Amino acid sequence: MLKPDGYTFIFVALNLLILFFFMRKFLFKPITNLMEERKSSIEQGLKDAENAKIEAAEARKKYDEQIKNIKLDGDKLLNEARAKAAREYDEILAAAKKEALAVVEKGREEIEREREEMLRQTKQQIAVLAIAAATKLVQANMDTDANKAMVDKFIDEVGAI
Amino acid sequence: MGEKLTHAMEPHNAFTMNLFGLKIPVSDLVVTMWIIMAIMIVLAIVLTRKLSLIPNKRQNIAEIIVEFINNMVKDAIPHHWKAFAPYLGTVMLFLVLANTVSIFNIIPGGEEGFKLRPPTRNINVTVCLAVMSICVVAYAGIRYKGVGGWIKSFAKPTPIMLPFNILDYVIKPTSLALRLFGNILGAFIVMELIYMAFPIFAPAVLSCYFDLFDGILQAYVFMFLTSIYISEALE
Repeated sequence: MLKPDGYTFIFVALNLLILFFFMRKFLFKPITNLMEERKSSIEQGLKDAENAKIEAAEARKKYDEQIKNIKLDGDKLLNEARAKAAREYDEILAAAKKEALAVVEKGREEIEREREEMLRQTKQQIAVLAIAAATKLVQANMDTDANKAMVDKFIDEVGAI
Repeated sequence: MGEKLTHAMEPHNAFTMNLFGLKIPVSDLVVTMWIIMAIMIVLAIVLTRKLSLIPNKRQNIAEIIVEFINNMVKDAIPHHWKAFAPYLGTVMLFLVLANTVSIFNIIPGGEEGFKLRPPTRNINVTVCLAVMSICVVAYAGIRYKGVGGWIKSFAKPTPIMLPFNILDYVIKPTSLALRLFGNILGAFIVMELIYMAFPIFAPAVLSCYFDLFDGILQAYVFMFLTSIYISEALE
């Protein structure tokens, strides 16, 4: 119990060293390494997940931007088309108006011409009628040419009034 | 009764080894230690067979033990715990088994034959453990400070402290050895007396305290103090 015993001392020291080497080789080293490996693998996994998340977010952002761009482009195209259509519409309308005006003008001219023609014919007929009437009425032996001129003058005067 | 008690306390020669004509007496302390070592080594090998990142039940047990020890050593020695955890863990596991080994006496009686009794009830064993511990402390100082740095550390914080620092290397192992020896022997004697005085079932409750709790506590204290000494040596 309290007696010094060199043999026991040496035995215990040797035993402890042997035990230490065995435990280190079979228990502590492998398990510690394994736990560190697991820790690092879990950390790696988390990092990968984080990276994947970031990547996904980036992709999402890109995609959103693309969608936005597409929308903008679409809007632009639509606006352009709209503007073009409006322009074309205006042009067509203007052309149509012009054409209509021209047609109206032409019609008016036509009418004017016809009226003048009618007036002329009327005047002629009136002159003829008047001469005939006058001839019948007066029964005078007059130079028809002179008569005609006179009648014309008369009609002109009447027209002026 | 006194004879019985003395018989239980004293080491006995289990057998005599013959090494190159040299007769070496092997006491029952050493035989008990061999039994504990064999159990520990076999368990270590069995529990760590086919290690994988996804542990099975056997591996979980080993991992719980190792992690518990690693965390305790980490608390005391934050930077170099990896170098000392195996030794401290070995000492702790050995002491836990050695201090509580008297629980595992399945064979009743055995007063005259071989009986499992804690090897740490003998001063030689505890002194040896304490000397090994202090060797590890010195090794830690030399390994991480260099020989010069280690020698200089004796004159810190002032050269006046030199004799006390040298005394430290005597006092530390002495206190370690005597604390362990005294606690285990005391508990052992108390338990022996209880076994003599009480009927058959009563000692079980007391055994829980004197054998299990005290034994594990002393193992923990031994390891904890050794780790504190190492961290002091590394400062």
